Amino acid sequence: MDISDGTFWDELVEAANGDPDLRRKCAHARACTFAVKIDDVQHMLEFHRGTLRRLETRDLTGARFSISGPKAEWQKVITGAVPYARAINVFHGRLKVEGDALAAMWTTPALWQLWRVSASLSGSMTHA
Amino acid sequence: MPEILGRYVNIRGRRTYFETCGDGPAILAIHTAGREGRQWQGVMELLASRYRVVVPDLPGHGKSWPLAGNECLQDAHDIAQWLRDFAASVIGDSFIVTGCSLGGNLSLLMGATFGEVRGVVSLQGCDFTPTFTDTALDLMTHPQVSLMHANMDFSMSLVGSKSTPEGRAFSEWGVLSIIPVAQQGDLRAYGRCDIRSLMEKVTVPVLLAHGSEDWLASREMVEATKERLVNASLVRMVPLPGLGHFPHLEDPARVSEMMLTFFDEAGL
Repeated sequence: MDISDGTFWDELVEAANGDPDLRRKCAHARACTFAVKIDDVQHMLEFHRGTLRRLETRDLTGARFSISGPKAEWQKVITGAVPYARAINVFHGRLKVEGDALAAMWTTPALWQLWRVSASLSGSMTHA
Repeated sequence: MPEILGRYVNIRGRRTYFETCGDGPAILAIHTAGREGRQWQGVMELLASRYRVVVPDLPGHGKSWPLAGNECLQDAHDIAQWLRDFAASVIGDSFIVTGCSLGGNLSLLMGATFGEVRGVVSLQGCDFTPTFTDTALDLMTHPQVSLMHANMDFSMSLVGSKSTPEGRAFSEWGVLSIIPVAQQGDLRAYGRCDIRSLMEKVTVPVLLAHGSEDWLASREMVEATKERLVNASLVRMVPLPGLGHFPHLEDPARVSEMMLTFFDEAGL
């Protein structure tokens, strides 16, 4: 499982859209785009009316906010080894959330759920 | 079951709610950031045969009235001084102080600065906790932010896997019933708390307890605090495996037993 690769994010998006909790937690979102930056690799995602999709673009100017940091720290979040809040904590974490703080706050429950889905996905891939 | 009594007292002209339980030497117990004193009820009952436990709701928390202008305290030294005024009014004698998280930090601060403190039990307490940004704190009272939604996953990630179901449920209720301005004031005090230079002034016995699954007030932070308690007459650090950021709420029996063992050793 290479978490930098687009294939992983496509699988995660598919799993996320099959998760009723995640769909409920982003039902209020309207074209809420955000960037995931893993070292120097970037992916653009969007919560919109209860769904998540990956945007095929390298242009991040439309992102409301970004979450960035080293791959090793991302690996911990995506596999559920550390809580999302710890990873983005100013004292404990190595991920940075930048941009529209309100948008990041509004999507916080959906993001937590997304990392639960990713932990489940990575677990099943590990054991496959 | 020992009876828990709730009363009001005027502190600085504002009605302050507090609960007491038991008879014996006094223990002042301080709740965590943004919450209220009910989280201590399990421990209160279990200590009641030997100690009188007194638990206030800080201004603007629980049933205590806020300060003038609907303000809450926002600085650790100010909260400690308010607690000193409260204790002078309600306890009126020397006392043991305990608290958790922000309350744990405040316990250490009170032990360092107030001569009437005769012992400290600090749960998840540290002398340096720069863990919240001003942006995060400012958003807590933004009109378009609901903390009961935005903070739930964060708060519940702090609860340990061995918490009782009741402790877990009341932690969740604490988020659902949150008062944003109270939470903001407390976490401003917590995030800006740096009392490292005061730790050498603590001379009374200190128990530092650490829920091993708390990632916010980490074991390393508590250990660093312990290293600075160079003049305390007794220092003990007790790990609490399986517990998180709210040990007194998550497992009152284990915390009470730990406290009584420490009180016996320290002659408190």
